[in-house]
Amino acid sequence: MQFDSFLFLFFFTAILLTYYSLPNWRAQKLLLLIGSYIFYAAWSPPLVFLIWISTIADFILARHIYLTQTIRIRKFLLGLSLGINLGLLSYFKYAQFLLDSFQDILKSLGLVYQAPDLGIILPIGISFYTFQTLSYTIDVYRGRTQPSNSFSDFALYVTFFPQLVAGPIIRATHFLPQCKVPKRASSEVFFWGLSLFVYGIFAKIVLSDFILAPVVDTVYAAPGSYGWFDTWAAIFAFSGQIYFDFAGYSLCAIGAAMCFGFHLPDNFRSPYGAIGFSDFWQRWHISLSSWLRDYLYVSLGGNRKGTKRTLISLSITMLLGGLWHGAAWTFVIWGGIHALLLMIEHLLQNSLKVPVHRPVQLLLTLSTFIIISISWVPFRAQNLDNLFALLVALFRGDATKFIDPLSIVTVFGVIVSMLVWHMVTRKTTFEETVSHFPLYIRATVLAVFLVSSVLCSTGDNRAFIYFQF
Amino acid sequence: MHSFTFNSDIRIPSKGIRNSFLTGVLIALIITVAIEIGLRSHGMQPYIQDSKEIWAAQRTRASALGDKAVILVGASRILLGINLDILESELNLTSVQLAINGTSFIPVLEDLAADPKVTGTILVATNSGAIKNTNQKYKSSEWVEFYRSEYRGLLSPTVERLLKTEMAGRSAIYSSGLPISILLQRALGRLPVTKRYVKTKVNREHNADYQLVPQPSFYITRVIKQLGIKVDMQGVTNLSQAESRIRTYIHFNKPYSLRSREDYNYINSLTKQLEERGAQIVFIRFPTSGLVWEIDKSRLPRKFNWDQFNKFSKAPTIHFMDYPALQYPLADGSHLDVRQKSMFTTSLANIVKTKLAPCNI
Repeated sequence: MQFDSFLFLFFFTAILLTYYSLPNWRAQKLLLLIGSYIFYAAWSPPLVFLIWISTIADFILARHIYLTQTIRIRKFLLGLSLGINLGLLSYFKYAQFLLDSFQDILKSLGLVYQAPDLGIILPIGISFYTFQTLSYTIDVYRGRTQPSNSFSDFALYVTFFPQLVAGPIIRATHFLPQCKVPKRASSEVFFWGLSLFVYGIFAKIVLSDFILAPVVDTVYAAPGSYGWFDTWAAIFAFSGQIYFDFAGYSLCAIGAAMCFGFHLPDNFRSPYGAIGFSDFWQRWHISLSSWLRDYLYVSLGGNRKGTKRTLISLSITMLLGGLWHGAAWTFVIWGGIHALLLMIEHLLQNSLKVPVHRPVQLLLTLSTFIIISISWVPFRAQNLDNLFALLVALFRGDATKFIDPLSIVTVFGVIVSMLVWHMVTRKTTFEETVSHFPLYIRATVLAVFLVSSVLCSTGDNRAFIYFQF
Repeated sequence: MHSFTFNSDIRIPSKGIRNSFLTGVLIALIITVAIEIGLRSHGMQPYIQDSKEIWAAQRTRASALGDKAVILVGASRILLGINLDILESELNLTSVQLAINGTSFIPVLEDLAADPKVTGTILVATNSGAIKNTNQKYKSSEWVEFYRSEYRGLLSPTVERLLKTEMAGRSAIYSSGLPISILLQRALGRLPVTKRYVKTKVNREHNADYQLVPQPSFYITRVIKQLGIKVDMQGVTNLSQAESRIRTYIHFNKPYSLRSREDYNYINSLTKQLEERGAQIVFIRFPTSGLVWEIDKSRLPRKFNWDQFNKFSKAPTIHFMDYPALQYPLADGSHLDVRQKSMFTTSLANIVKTKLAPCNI
């Protein structure tokens, strides 16, 4: 069920009305839990069983880890949790990829092997809820939190529908305390939640799907036909497309949760206003990058064991982070590029002192944006051939096809506006920025967003990009 | 009873959120309603638009109905040329319209052949030029892929499709599928609203009303499109002049390269897959007329094309020229008008009956 669908509109309205008509907190939480399962089952009912497996396994294992004093048994139980969760994730997400890669390796050696088509359907959101349940069990193992006493609260943490399929990836320490105290959204919080939802839908439908995606799709479909100018336009357009798509989804998720009185953490903080790559990763998909930092990078040694170990930890974290996004070598390359960028930055940051002058900061921000935009090429490319064709097209003088000038102007208009917005708001929150605008401007902006979303939603819906991960 | 607390973690802007939201929604509602009224007052009505989602719903039926289905495959000619209700009553089967406008039928036939649940009667509209084994990606490939990966067995796309169809039938804005600039200009009356001569039903039956199009320009445009080359129409003032001018171009038309045995064998392999599990398949050359038929004849001489296909095909074939009841003067030279399709469907169904094994009639 997509946020920008009629089905979600009906579902959300029904859940919201029922939620606020129920007399007690327990019933409200139960409604959210049942609603979340319906939300997930609306896509494919049998795959709810997978969520149940993760939920039941981690609830039981975490309790036993907490109650057991013997280190070896605790490690075994943690290993069991990792095995179940990562086993399911590996099978559904990576089995076909591994078989196909094995086939390619044998082919390069001159051996013939036909990998079977396993016909696996990737369960939507599996990467997200797997990371949530894992973080819970690891936190209990590390003694950072106590296991939940309430199975239904824990199940709601795993399946809470606003963030179930594409995050933000929330931590049990953030969510479970919210389940303890009965609460509801005040009218200001409720309407701010709805406002965020509208902003998110606008970002997705109008900016991402209507303005930017067509240019990206056109150039990536035939990179051999377009010259350098259109190709650069497509590359910048994809930077905008993926941001508005995913940040739009996150806004919708945060807004929807807010309508029930729940708080979800920020997932984006003006990422294209970043100065440098570590700064970028503190602003982009924050819930994933912080998860990778806390549960992978730190576990690998982090920056506590010298420069060499830090660089190795960084590389492994980013490569696995790339692979988390999708089972394809293009994602590994994307992760590798970011590992390289972070390593270079790490090595340089002690020897170079960046002046704080504004022009220098501006230059660094623009450089970061351009490099990040180029790094998105493997992320978006359908395969390695497509990736190389795109890279060649970045420097091609001649072209047989051209993007129409109006689309190009619109794309650059949106991208420049986005960059300016991110630079201006890099040190403030969205709420602080909105507070500066008077009521009539806020109302007008909301109306424009709503009307343009309606006018642009006449075709087929595109799935949110991060649904596939 | 519990007392509720407001979540203090939640950041919100300074006051006025409720008022700004409600005012914004009210303004948006007024603008949207005004645009809808503007569109309708200028003649733009809500209608159902054909889409891969509606197609996928019909594709699901093709599997579910099994041997009770008569499945229509092809492009615009069979899409516009068959009255589904009449076909159902004539063949005593349930019609499923799977033809897709302006694309190859091969990906659809491949998909049906690969699905063991498809055991019905399949009517394929084609000309011999479209029969080829190729890896090329068509619009139909995209629709089949959508059905397989994003629709089949999944619940929410099915419900969403129902809601979208319902919405399209009620809102001119939603059903238009037009870019914003054109939509707004039409709402303001600055751009004329062209009358839709093709209407789609939920079951994908398409009806073309050629009385709504300007003639003979529509016919001439269609013929030139079919010809696929630029025709110098300078100095042409009437239909007969236009026809004789276009004829001079037709004479330059070279016949298409002939289909190979591999192409026919490939189609036969799909036919075999279907027939082995009880399905039946009939290939039909739908009628064309006037200059469109002349172009077809020059490009695909029947003796070397359709007749060759007929000779090698494992499935029965029907060519409209062999049956006077299937020959119609067509308004655009290529497609049946809504007024012609009932009679045509009855005639075709009677011919199809003679081609099918008795158990399927």
